[in-house]
Amino acid sequence: MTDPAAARVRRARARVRRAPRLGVYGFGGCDLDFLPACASLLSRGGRREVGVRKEGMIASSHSRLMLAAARGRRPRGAAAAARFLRLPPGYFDAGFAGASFRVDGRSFPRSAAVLSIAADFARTLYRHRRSGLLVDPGAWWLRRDYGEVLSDLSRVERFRRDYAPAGLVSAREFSRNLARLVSLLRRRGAGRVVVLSARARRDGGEEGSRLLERRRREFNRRLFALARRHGFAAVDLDAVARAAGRKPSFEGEAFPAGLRRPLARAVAALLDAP
Amino acid sequence: MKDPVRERVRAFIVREFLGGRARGAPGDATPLFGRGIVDSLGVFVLVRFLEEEFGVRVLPREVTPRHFADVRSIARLVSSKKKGARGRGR
Repeated sequence: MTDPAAARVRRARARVRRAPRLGVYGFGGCDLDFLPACASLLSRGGRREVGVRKEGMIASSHSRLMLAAARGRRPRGAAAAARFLRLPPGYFDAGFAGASFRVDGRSFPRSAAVLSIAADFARTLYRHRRSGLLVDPGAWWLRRDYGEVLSDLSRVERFRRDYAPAGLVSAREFSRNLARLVSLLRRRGAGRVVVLSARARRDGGEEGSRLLERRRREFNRRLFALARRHGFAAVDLDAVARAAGRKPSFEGEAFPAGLRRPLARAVAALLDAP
Repeated sequence: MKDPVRERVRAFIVREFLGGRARGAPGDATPLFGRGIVDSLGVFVLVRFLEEEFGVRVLPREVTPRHFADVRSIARLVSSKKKGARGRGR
């Protein structure tokens, strides 16, 4: 005789298998650490199989770096730079642009892509003086204790000899690059693209904060204008923070962990919208 | 009277980050980050300078934008560390 409970479980599993898999892929820094929390919010009570993967770091998610990686050729000098700066594997590869990705051994379509503009807003890239290779040296220290870098500052000197600052990206270039990235992700199968705005920071003294704030507002304004023009979703981190009863700005390097849950709910709602 | 620590820090910033152009020298409260004079790599360059020039040891937890926001903050960090070192030496 068939066990009715076991039959119910079998039927539920079959329904999950029949439902299209949803793959949500994020590429960026700690502001995307909320993404795993989206899985349960998108699974519709277990009726849909959802795979969520977050890769990259703020120092690998600058639009110039992503577009350079998407060209598909390993740039000259990449291996030497990866060794010298102890870059994570795949730093120069466009892993974010594939049609699918794996979570726990299972393959998911890259149905949705989630990015952030934090790197373009805040990070300075450096260019190798001979090969022209672009790199964010923060990839070297943002993943580890500063003590490691402080204990060997001669490496910093060597880096400065070999690389020259490429400057902060202008607001106009940021817009152009983001439009190209969204278009690229769509061509590679991402039906939905969600991009997070830059959040206010207070870490440069009063006038420094004012200058950063002016830049941030300009970048966010351009992000929302682009989202309207190109039909992707932009998430206003200030609005999410306010709705969650949190301060609209933060100080220091790390993205506040208390914002992860409200952010997951906001992004899941966008990804689940008809 | 000019603060000698501030003046030495300022002279280093002009030499290292502004190509020696004294006309662009930052004031005591000129934001080094907001104006793009110094970035996160530059902070490590400044740390090396402070350690060699003033004989202080900058701890990893002190490598924050707040301590390196402007010439005044950097000089304050150096002075507090020198004062702390003198206090411990007594």
